[in-house]
Amino acid sequence: MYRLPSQKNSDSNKEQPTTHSLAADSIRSPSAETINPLQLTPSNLFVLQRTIGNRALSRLLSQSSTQPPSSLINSNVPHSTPTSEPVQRIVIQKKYDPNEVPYKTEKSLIDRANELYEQREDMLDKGDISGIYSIGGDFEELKEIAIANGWLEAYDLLIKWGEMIPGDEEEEQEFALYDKVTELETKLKGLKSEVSDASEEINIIMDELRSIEHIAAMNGWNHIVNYARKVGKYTPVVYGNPSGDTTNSMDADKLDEIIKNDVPDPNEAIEIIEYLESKASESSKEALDFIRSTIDNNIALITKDNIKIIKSFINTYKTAQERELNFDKCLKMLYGVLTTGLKRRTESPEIEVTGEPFNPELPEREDYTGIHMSEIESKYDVLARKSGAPEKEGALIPGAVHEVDLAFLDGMRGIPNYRVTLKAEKKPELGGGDGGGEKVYALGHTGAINFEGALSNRGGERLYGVLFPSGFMERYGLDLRTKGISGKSAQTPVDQDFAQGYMYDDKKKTHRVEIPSTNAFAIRAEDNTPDGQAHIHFSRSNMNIHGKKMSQLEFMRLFVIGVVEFNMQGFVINIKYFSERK
Amino acid sequence: MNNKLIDSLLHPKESYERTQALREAVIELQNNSFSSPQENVINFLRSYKTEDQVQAALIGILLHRLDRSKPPQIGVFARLFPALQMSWEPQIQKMAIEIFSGHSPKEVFYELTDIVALKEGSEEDRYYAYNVISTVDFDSVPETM
Repeated sequence: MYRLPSQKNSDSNKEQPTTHSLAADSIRSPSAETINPLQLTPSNLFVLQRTIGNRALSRLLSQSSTQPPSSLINSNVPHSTPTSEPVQRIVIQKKYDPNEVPYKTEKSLIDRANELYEQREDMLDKGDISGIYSIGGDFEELKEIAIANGWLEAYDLLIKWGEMIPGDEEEEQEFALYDKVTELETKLKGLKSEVSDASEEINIIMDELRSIEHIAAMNGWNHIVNYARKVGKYTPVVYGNPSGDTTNSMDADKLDEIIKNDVPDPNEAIEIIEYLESKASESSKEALDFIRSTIDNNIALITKDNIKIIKSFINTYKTAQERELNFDKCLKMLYGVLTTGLKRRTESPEIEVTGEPFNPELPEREDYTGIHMSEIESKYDVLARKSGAPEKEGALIPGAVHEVDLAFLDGMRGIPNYRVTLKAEKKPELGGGDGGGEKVYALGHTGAINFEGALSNRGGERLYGVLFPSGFMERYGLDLRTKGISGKSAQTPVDQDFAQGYMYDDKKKTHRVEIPSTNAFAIRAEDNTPDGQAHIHFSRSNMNIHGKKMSQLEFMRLFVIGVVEFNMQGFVINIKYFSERK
Repeated sequence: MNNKLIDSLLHPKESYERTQALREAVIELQNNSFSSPQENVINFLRSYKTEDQVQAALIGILLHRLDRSKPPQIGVFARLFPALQMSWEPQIQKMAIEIFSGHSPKEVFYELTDIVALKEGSEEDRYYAYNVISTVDFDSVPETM
């Protein structure tokens, strides 16, 4: 393992003293006392060793005239700042700007680490160590970036170049967790190659890896999250809040299945009709024919309206059965419920989308984990969202699943219209999914990171981006960003506006905004989303897109290619591609 | 009710703004039960149709509070029904359970089915009743609270 205090392959003439012997030397050495404000006690000697390397420290201590360079005091070297009076700081949140992100790929960070390593060695060879403190600080900073972005290779390299060992209890836990994954990786390899039927042991290891991933994710150790996923190759687990309660976690596939089953069983509807037909007299034939054709027309469960019609039909039959209503009353009720359902379906005006259908060429599916969102956005159109931990009245909702976890489910395809609360030893509680509400997504990751909405910034913020084919927003989005009466963004059009092809942006109806029939959803702009924000209305169910009936949500999901989770610096920490839809 | 709140309720820029205004109205009416909102607000609450369950539940609570002298009406139950399972909105869920107290959700579900199937009650009540019977699984409806 590489995490030894000093294992650098050096020339024989380069000294390799141990930390302890150095500590003893420093206490005896009068030169050490001149190095203020750092008092070279054994504990902070360790800090210096960790950040600048043993060889440099040895050289430092052997040069009695060395003065502490200001770069040490100003650098971000952890634990080395004098701990005098606590300083009150006013933190001003700076707006995120992707142009200011120094390392957008793991390779660029590795290149920088190698460059710094060369510089350090060169300095030591030449005997000029004035810059090594800041290099030590840089290694620490680069390591933090590697952890945040889950860059395993870069992390390993920086631990090696920085000669880092755990600095405090938290790091001890982090290192131990990392080592545990390595141990499980070795075990797993052994089991796969030597034992013919080791499925039980493999399952135990998988459970351990999931649990490690959970702990690492809660601590922000994304390199360990990635490492565990890499070793385990399993479906990520959906977690509820509060964290750490392992009874509130569920396999993503299982939850996906439960949500998909939140639609009525069409067979149940068919069985009911067959039963009714077997009991019907000639006088009820007309009513039964209507019921049969309505069910047949909606049984495919393509739209939310289909689902509602079938569900209300089954529910009504069950209530009649439980109340032991007679056959005629039951038939009358089923007839009444279905006519209401059909009427409701036609109440919202049909929004027709015309023009040349969009048939994009798609780029190859690549693993963008650890890559900056700006790279992804050069290949795909991205709708991104920031979402806080599900909470109400300032308290987390126990067992509530984060929106980001829901976005990764196959059934949600990046656009979750369900809310889920996991209950210990019970079926998860599902909310939403009823066709109500809307979701607003920023065009591009920058708008999501900088989004300042109250609900999204109360804690537990996570970010995700939904990948669409490049050109999708331009083809189907109604660009309202500068179409408002004030020259700013126009308001969100309602169903009626889309259906009629225009709207007014003011109450006096003087400022008319055209809505061409080639558009399927609105793109507006707010102060935090100058690049635009797309509005997806879950109740916009009556759309006819290139001759196919569907809801706006179904239409958007049809084009979704994948979903990514990214961090506040814009780096992807998880990615999933969905199956292709025809 | 102040004018800003009324404006956000009746002419919101976004659906989100209307939900916030409804939340505020619930708090306002709880704190000062004697000050009824203006007629246009009451009319809006009675006539507004939405598929958003949170908005529907808030409207149900408001309508019930405006008519406290009477037992909860079927229209209030229709708007509030989904809130019984709304664990992500604990305050709304609590208020819904309070209003349902002494009533059997299963009996209410029967009644909601009747008003849809037999075209009884007001058009708005039927709208919300259909929202319930077309989205809630009858098998999951409890006999008692």
